[in-house]
Amino acid sequence: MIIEYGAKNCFSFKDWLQISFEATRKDVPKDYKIGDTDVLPYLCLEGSNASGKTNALKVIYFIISFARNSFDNKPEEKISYDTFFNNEEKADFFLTFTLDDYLKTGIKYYYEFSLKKGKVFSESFSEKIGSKKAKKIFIRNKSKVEDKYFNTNMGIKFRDNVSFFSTLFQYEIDKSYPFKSYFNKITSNVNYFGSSKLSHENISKIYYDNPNLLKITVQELSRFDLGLVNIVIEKSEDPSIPEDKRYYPIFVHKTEEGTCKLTEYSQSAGTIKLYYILLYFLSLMMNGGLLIMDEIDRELHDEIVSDLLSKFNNTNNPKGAQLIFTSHNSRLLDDAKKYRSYFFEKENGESFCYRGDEIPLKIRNERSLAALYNNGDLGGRPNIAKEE
Amino acid sequence: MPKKNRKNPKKENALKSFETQNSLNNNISKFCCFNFKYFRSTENGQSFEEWQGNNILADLMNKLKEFSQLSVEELKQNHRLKIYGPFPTSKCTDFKLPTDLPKNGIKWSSFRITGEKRLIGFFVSKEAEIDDCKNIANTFYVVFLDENHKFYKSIKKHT
Repeated sequence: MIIEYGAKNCFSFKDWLQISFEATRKDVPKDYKIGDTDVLPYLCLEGSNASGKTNALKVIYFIISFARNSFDNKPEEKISYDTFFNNEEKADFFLTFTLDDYLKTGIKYYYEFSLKKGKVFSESFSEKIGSKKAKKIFIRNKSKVEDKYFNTNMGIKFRDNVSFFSTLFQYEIDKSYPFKSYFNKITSNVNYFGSSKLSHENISKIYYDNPNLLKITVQELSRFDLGLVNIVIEKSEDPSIPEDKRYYPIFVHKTEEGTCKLTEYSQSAGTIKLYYILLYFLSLMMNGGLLIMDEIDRELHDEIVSDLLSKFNNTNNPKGAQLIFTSHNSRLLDDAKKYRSYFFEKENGESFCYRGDEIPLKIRNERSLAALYNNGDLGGRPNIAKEE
Repeated sequence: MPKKNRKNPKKENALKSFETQNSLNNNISKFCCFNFKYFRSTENGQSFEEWQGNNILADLMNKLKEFSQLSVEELKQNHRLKIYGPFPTSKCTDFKLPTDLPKNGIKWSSFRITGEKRLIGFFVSKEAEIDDCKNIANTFYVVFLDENHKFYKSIKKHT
């Protein structure tokens, strides 16, 4: 599970961005957390356009991609991130997380790194067991490496544009596997270039190979009153079509005369979005991990999004699945409550944010957070100049 | 290593601003407010123009600013406000009860501006049944400007 992450001098964040899934304060109701942990299952990022919400998602996506995949960079390539208005100063990042066995081990991991001019400046990795003091287990300062955990002292070369994690994954270091496995469970519809669609590649093939998953998706779609009664995945035998395109869904609708079959191109944008994202949600709930979604409510009714969020309730989420999303629909704040809502603002080009429960106002849980937000009481609202 | 010193001054300022908002929300309802809906200068007392001509309008405005920072209770305790109750009898006043104001249910009161100058008006009784008006007890309805302390004349004691 992600506990916390952040960055400084990155994208529109000149000073520290800190996003926390942690809920250790006693006033946070258990229902809003994951199982017996003090960790929140999802965070809703609210704010006006250009306030930095998507950039906050880009930061977590960047941290994960850098940790997971930076060995894919060519040796001379610079690491892809932006400093605040492209200055040449150091950018700092951190990620606090746990692995799947957290409830057994009580171990939290702290990964911190700094980059300068597109290269690694420093990295450190610590573990903290229960209430014991955190212990540094891997340190890298430019070319100097100190490893007290992964047993890498056998000629591994750490390139200056690659994270130590990605290097260890490349060298197939045994002790790095659990971290690789966790990072691989993080999916995003945001990348360095901004918001994009979740990858649709292979989704129909996955449904074809896993009829049970398809069955659950059909059940979910039926609940959403889209007029659908079934989806059948058909396979084209044309070898000239790429492998993942050979599988395509046929949507079966109910009419007064019986049923009618239609292709993907005749479906509403909302139906198609659900067909694809439900697989991500199902996979997330089954395996755990983190789903990063920019504009979750795009093409979807807020009640459907609200229903998707209800999957993360305390007892339904044994794998500790997490979601972080942006939205322009303030109605979702009433699901998120103050503990799971971040409000973003920008001043003089600098983004900053705060969590709803950091606001020093008495906000009772039974009050509508959306109403307070829409009234302008919580900040993070567009301040539109009125025409004379 | 966990760090607690990852600061963002803009975030901290925004959160501080909520504290100010909190303090404002908690306190605003207790301050004395002034309303000029029932103000008149033709029947009794003076007009703003007359006070301006006598160079005392600015004194009034400065006093209103000062009074607005206190509650009705504090104003009473500090002898800036005197609450009389019913409209004074003709023996005590040179003023007449305006016909559009009720005899009962309001408490005639006077703010001391300077020397003999007074601001005359009323508060609505707390007991009055008025819906949706939280600040009713703190609102002073200005009715007259009284330059010579003629609204409630001091009665000389027998000697």
